[in-house]
Amino acid sequence: MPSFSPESAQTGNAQPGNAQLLAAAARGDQTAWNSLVARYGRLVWSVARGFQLSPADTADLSQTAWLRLVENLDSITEPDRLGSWLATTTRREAIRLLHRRNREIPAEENEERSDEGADGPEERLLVDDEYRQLRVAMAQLPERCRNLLRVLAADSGASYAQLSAAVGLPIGSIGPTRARCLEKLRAQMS
Amino acid sequence: MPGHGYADEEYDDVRLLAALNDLYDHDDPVPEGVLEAARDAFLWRDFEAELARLLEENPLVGQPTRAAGDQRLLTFEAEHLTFVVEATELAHGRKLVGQVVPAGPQELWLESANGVRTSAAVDALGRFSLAQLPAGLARLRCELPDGTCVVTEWGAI
Repeated sequence: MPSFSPESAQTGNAQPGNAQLLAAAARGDQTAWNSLVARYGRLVWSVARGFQLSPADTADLSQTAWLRLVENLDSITEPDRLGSWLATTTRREAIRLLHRRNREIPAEENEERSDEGADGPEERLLVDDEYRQLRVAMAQLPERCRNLLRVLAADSGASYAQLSAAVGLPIGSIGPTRARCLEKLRAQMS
Repeated sequence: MPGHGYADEEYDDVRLLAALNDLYDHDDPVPEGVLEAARDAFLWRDFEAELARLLEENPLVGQPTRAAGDQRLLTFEAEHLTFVVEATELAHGRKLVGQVVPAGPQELWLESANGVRTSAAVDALGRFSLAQLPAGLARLRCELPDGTCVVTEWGAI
């Protein structure tokens, strides 16, 4: 079952695991590092985006998470949980930034998302048709569901631990929340 | 059951999530510059330097406001050196005033993640100040008299 598999399982047989890539990066192998960025760049971005910060702040959050990993290359004790580690790090930095800005942490049940970004140039119209239903359905979901589903979509092999780290919910509530959010999404689509 | 190995409902979930992933890739892709910055983070790898970790970060006043200038006190600690830094956000930039303990180094550097390096003199008591700093991620680097380098964690200091 995809949602229960260890994070390393998503990489398939042909690709090196996190442990190999981390070890190679610790020896100075930029290519191995780039593979880690390719594997988790979208996850880090998804977590950062969940805080609805400015584009510059969101980019800084992503870079901070990756700089933290550079600092800690030798001390990642559970390579299979690297996704959780990156998600936790991104989330912690985001909360630190919000505190510094003296801002509220976004409420779990937030108001409806605005339509910003939903309109695009004309060449996107065709694709927009394909996505319209899904986009509209997502907009109806609570903030917590959107964030969870986004991280889940970014990494379908995400473990419950990784999802918990990414969205800040207790690990025990991830399963029920995931099921409820998917159900809500399906209901909105039908 | 179809040959994909999932129960039907799980398969629906997998398809729905794949569609959702495509939607986000379309509506809100990871900017190429963000991925490039992530790859470039590796260039800051520094095995020689000792890492000073952030111990605590406190606002210096109860409820900071923009008008007064936000002030924070940060403490970074490594085995051989501690940095105590007061960071002030001003309308036209940031300012750092701090102290390294124990005193001894005569110079330190602020390194910005965008590649800019600024140096500051450290006095006999370990005190230093840096003004007019750009926004963004940065860290402090200091070389001890015995040649050991100490860097702070990256952060928006």
